[in-house]
Amino acid sequence: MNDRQTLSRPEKVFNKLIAYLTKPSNVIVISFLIILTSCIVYPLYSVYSAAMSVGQMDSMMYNSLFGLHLKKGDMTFLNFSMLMLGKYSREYSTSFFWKPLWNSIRMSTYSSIIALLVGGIIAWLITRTDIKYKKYISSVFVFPYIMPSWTLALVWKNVFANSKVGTGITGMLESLTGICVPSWFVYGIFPCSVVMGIHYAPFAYILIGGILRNMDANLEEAATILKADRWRIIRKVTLPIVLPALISTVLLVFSSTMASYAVPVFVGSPGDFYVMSTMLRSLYSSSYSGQSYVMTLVLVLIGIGMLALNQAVIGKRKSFTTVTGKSGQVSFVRLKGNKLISLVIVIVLFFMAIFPIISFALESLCEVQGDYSTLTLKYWLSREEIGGIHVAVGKGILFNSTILGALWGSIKLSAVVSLVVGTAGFLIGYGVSKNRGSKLATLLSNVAFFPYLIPSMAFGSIFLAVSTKLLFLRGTFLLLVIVASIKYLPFASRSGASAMMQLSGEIEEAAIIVGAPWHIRMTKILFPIQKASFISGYLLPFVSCIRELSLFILLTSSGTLITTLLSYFDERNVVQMSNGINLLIILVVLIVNFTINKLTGASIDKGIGGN
Amino acid sequence: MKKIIAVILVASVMLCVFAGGSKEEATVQESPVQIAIKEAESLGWDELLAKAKAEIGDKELVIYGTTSRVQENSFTEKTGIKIKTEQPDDTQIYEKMQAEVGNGIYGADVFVTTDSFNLVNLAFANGWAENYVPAAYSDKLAQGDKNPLVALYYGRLFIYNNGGKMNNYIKNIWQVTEPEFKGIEMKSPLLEKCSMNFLITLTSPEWQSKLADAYKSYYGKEWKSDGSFANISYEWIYKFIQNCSFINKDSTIAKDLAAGAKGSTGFFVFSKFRSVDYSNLSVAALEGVEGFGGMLYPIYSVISSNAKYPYAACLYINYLLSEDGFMNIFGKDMGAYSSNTSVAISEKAKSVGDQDLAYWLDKCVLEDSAYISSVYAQAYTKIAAWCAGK
Amino acid sequence: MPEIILKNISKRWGSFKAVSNLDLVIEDGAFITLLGPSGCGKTTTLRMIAGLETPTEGEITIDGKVVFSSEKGINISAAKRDVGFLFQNYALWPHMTVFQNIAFGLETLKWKKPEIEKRVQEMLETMQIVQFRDRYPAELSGGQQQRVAIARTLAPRPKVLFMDEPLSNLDAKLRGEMRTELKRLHKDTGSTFVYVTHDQLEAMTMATKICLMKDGFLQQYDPPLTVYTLPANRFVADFVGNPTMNFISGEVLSNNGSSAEVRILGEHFTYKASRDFTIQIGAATIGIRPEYLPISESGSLKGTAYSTLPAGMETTVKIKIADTLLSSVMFGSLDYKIDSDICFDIVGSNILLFDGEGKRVAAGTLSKVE
Repeated sequence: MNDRQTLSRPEKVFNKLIAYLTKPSNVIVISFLIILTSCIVYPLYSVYSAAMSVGQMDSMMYNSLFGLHLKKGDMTFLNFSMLMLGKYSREYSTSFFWKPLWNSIRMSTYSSIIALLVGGIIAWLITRTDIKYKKYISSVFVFPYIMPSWTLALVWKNVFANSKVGTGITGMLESLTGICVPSWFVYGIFPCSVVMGIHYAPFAYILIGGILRNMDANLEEAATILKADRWRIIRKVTLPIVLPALISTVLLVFSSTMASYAVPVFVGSPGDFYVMSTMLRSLYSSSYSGQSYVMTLVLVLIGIGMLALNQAVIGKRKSFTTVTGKSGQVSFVRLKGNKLISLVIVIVLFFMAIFPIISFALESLCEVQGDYSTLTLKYWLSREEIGGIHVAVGKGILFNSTILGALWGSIKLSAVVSLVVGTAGFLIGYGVSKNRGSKLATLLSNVAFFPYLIPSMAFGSIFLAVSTKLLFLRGTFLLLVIVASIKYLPFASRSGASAMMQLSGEIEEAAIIVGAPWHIRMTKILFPIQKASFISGYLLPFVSCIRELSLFILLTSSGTLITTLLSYFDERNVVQMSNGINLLIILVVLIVNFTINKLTGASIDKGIGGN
Repeated sequence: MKKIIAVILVASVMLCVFAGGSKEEATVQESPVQIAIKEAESLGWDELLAKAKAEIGDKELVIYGTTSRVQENSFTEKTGIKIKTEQPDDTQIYEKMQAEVGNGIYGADVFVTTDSFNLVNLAFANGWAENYVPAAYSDKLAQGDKNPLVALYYGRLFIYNNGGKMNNYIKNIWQVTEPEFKGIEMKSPLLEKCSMNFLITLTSPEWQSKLADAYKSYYGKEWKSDGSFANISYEWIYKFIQNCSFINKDSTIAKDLAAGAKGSTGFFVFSKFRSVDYSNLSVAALEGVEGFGGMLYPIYSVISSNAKYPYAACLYINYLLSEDGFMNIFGKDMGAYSSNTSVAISEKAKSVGDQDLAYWLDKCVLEDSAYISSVYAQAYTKIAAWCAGK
Repeated sequence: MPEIILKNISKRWGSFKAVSNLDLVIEDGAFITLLGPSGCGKTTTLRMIAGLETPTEGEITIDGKVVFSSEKGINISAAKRDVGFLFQNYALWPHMTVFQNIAFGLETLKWKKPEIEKRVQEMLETMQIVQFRDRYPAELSGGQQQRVAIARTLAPRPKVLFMDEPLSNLDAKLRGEMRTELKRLHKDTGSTFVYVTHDQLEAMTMATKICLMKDGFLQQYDPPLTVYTLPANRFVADFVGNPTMNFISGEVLSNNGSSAEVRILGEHFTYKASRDFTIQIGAATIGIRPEYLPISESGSLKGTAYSTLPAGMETTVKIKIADTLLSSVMFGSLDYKIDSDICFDIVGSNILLFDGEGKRVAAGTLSKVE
């Protein structure tokens, strides 16, 4: 009697498909998977094929070196074997690949440890002790992440350079105290690791602090009752609970440092310290550009490895991080020497976060560099063309239509990118959290994180190639938006997912039950509740985008973006202008951050995944 | 996995469609750009200006230049033709040529670039760029500067901080290989093709013998191979690289050096003097260095094979070669030398002791593009490995 | 009329089967509780009916309309099933005031402003939360939040109301009050209530019918008193009632028509049921509710007082007899010295006999063979 009711197979499949697609979260997962794979798989594929074939210059080189007859585009394993396996000479492979690889690994390891220690200790001090100036510390501590990493490197050089190192410029430390730090302290792996460590320490602070803040204080109190001392509690209770955050920080910092270029160039190369990213750049500019793609592949693979490791560790330990969030009264540890410790931290933070800003401001005001008796506002306020001994500079920054135009261009691009990325992150977060545990959702969240692993430079060059195929994109604002959106998606999707995960399913279901359509649920329920977190997802891409250079340099002409203009003045050594523009970028970021924070409660740290 | 493959397939099909549409028919006939160039060769300034203006109207002439100076807009002041410039580096400019001209896409009209090797072996060999020599300047250019056309030369020199009193610090080029000169600041030859070309040129027999003479004069004995280097030039190059400290920008080097301690040495573009306080800086070559005092590298100017405004492009090159053009764009300060032998350096340059091109040709190593091409792969790879491995 | 019919409903997550082949008919206007220990599939069942979860197999009909069918690939979204849902954690929207929370559903139904105003006011009054109208959920106590949640759920007058352990976050006193009110609301609204709980007392006191589940399987679906007096098996008997039923393992010696001879507590008993039954000779269990073990000086069975738990209105006495602990409930406040001798009887006609597999085979009387 069931016969009449049975439907044919295609009808059933169709009905099931309709049922599947009527769920917006499924549509989101599917469509983002399609968009992202085409935007990421294609670039990756092109990196792979470039690594596996020879370009015109490469083929000339290989033919001449090895007596071959390769033509442009021929498949070859030579890029690999020459770079990694000593096909030309062991010296070549060691110099270009193995040594930089080893250096990168060491630098990244040290940076992760430094970031972890600095960020973790600050996080612990803020959440668990009665340290003073908490507000100052916690708000200023994220500055080093907001500022471009090379500004820190610059500050490092300005402070520690001395008459015994390099060309013997007298840095601030020497001129104040007469102390000359050794050469390894100024250039090489040490400053690289420290600067990168400090740059990413806010990461550790945010991730670890988030967990400590939400962790049920009862867990620690229970240990106190059992008469465990503070150190034992930290070791046996606190640390294991924040372990996933620690590991996650280490892996993120590790892979970020791996791909960083500017800092090793500033304070690494002068000390003969080369890492994979600097070698990638050298290879890219060399006559063996094919090998630069091999290098890119290796970097991507390391990143994937890190990500997989992260996934594996976090996945297993996830249960640890489920926290009740009911830790109202934490009894703060009373620090011995509180005043001294607080003061030291405040001072160190000043140098890490505030000093660079002040020094940019001062340098932009000095007619003669470093001579504070020649202060002038003309580089900011002059309505006349500034001539002088230098190259044509143009009008003062605030009246210079080129600079203001470029700044506006950067703000516009960053705003559009952050809108696209933030919204995408919100949607992806929704799709992933609704389909928690499904294979497609896991795939999506991994794919969305992927662009993080491709070095900016490679990304830019890939999309230059893409744009010559898709003519309508070439040189357009849209292309910049697309490239930047994909590049900055990882963090937005991460913060989107973590914000969504914090919402219990019931919240949305309560609205489903009363028949609220999807867009109403999104705009009236989900978004407003986690407003701060989601808006943070918009903030982070904005910050990253406005200070980005290497991603865009191939895709746009100088003058359209503030960073490309910055390198113009830098090139000409118009110190006042380049410092002024630096200050301008940092100020824009800080003002935007502050305004958004005051208006909505969103902040950078929420964007990274803190709470 | 299947899904990913499917996406790749779809994407590549799409790309093929786009790519297919842009293929130009192969011709043996002359292109419009070649015709225009041929015609422009014999035109005087005024005729060419008229043609160029008629052609371009109020549109912009697009110039890609590896040197930032192309952004100076005196050309517009003189001709009324607007320009738009981009400043890719010496890798990116060829990448852009390939991406644009190579795909039949209009990007730029004029390329101002360094590195004869890539210019000849990539740009000319692939037909991305055309050479143009205005007849009016033909007899004012050295024969070797005509193909590819050299617009001007830059000098990259050994410069040291004299601490206010020291002079003649570098007397022999072998000095810079000695331990006391450790830390010479220089932009890595891996990132600066003309520097690499300079080092490769040094390995030529001509420079081997010059280096051998300097060696004998400095050490008081003949150079003898101990087997570790193929010839004397490689020994010098190796030791020099070991002594270098790579900085990513010439302007940073100039700044570091100007503010640095007595005796610190750098190898950077002379023209950077214009943006630092050079009161404590001395140019070794001007005081006399046995061997050579630095390198001289050509800035070439060629026309894009798919230039939209070939006449205006020709006009621009005419302008670069003219006294006016050189002075306005490059010659105001020290360190740049017109290939036009009738153009002298500026008074300002003279005031800091700068000299004319002929002087520098004698004191410096000049990129020898024929020799470079003959040994490029071997020499490049060897030197590159040293640079990377120090 | 909204009758809800579940046909052969199953839900699997990977290899884990949360609900297995469930058939259930929920009559219009009923107050059904889905009862069972945690992990038994009751919440899953509720969410499947509401449309918040998709069954793996089966068919669900609400009010004659198929809302889900795996056969036909039908899956109507929760929004279109015209149901109300009260969540365990209330799921009040923290960024909306009490008024906005209650009005939200009406707005999505495109009610007119004055009507919304009127209805919300009505709900606020019914739930006695008028004074909290403009407060945010975070400013309310648990009980107040609960009332808001109920008001929000009831405002659009759903024909069917689902509740997922709505009282579990309240303290005992409030819980008691809310029970009374929910029962009242059921009467006043005339809606069908489906109520998930793991608290047997809640199920007993409120439901018109209890659906008891274990490990995804339906155990019994009957009115509360039936479930109490005539549980289908040992699990049900054990789960319902407080203090729990006494289970005395013993041996069936013979079975003849409506009677059997059993040996428990080291003594011989005659078991007599009102109907014929069959049970295998051998191990069996006798189930006796504590109220069927009255203590009296003339009691025919002797044990010792293990402990006494007076609660004011009644007293639970743990009696130790032949290595078995039995609970007896007596009216009033009593106190027995620990380890003193106690005499008691087995009375009543609802003494249960479970076979070796734990299935109830009979209900009857038990008398000692002298």
